[in-house]
Amino acid sequence: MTDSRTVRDPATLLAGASIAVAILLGWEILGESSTSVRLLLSSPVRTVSYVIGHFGEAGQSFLYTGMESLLGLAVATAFALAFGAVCVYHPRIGSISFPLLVASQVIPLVCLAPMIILVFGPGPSGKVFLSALIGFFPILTNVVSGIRSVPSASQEVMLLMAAPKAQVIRHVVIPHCMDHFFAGMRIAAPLSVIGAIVAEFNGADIGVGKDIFISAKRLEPELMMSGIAAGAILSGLIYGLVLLLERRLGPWYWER
Amino acid sequence: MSLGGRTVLHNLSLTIPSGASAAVVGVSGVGKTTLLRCVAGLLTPTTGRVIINGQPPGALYGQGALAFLFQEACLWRHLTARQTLELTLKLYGLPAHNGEIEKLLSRVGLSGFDSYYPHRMSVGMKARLAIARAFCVAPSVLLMDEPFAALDPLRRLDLNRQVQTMRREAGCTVMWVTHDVVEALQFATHVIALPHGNSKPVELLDLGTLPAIADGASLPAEALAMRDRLLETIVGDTPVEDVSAEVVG
Repeated sequence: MTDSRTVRDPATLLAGASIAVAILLGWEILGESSTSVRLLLSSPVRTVSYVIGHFGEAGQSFLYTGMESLLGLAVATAFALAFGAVCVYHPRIGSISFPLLVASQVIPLVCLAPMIILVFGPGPSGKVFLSALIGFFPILTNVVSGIRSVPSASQEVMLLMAAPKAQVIRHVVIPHCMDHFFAGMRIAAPLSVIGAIVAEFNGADIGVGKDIFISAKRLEPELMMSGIAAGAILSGLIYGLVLLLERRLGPWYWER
Repeated sequence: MSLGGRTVLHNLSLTIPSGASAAVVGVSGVGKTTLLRCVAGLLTPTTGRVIINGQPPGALYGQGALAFLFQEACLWRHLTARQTLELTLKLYGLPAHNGEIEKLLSRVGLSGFDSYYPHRMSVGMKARLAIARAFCVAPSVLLMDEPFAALDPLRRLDLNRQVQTMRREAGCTVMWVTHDVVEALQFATHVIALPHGNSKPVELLDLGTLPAIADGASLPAEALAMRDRLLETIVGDTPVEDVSAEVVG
């Protein structure tokens, strides 16, 4: 009998770590192989040296983009929960607005970035907006599907007890929707970082996206690679934060 | 009662005596669940009315007088067995005394499992907790829509016996759905036979004179006659007995 926990056994971890070390080693050798490659690709050692040498600026960009992404995810979550509840509990509003919202997803949201920056300016509000916009839909669809799949019998048990609506939501709807909600959050977490970085490409005073954008213009592979690494670390951290929140729900959720 | 333009239950008039255990038998799709849901007030009959102790079912909500066990246990997944009973009592506006909860859990065989969440419970344990929740406030009417259908015959027998014992102690009326006519004869005081295709009037049969049926024992002659009569009503045909067949490969 095997389960998902098997992947955490020491042999599997060692195999994963070996592959990661091999990739880094190959990347290091390739990055230092010739002068022309050095101009285009920064090796891991050079990237780390660059980050250590420019820790202040790199850290500031990292924190700035991280804050925008987190705020974007928070706004997306709040609106998705509120709108999802409206869609389900007021079916008329839902039946009008939900198909429109689905149709709106055919517009690649990254195409909206220049317009959003024009409207909001180079400050953080435009980045938070795009980050929220991109994370909103996966959370919304999952929340709506979660609320719709609450078994009617579970609600009828509460009806027979004449339980107030707030108690029904607290003890039946919310616990039932948690799987769906966090499935949406796990998709939205890295998307929120993508949203913030893409917005920064289109005009920003500070941020990981701005660093990557400038590095391409100035031909600074160390800055580019440190920006890419910062984006990846941010996505991982926010994803980890979502997993941490899931763990906080208690054994009834994560033991199942 | 009509559902989706199709008449499910027609010309049905029953009076179930207080303290009875009334089994509802019939083939699939005949309206057993619909009847139970009408009695609970979860469905409104197209014409006619349901009266429980002189009141419409809706008037009993929130008092604990009317309980329903669904096919699924419908437990609160974020609450332990103890917390489930505590919340039930709280929703009925009653204090949750530790001793009372211990007693209820032990009554349904869940002593020592009070800190278990539903995901750690077997189907049988979930059914037991659902029974405990239903009997939290001594209901006067308990409706059961095949809550033990997913269990093996031994567990089902055990839980049916448990419910009937609790029914007698609490003096409540139980109306329960089953496909199994023999199970109905064993545990019911009355049987409501829903005829296939509304071909005949619905019958309420009093099993008071029927001798007790022991577990695993063959049915006495009176019970066999009653079984055949019920099958004739619900299926529309007499059962074929003593069939011997030979299969030649």
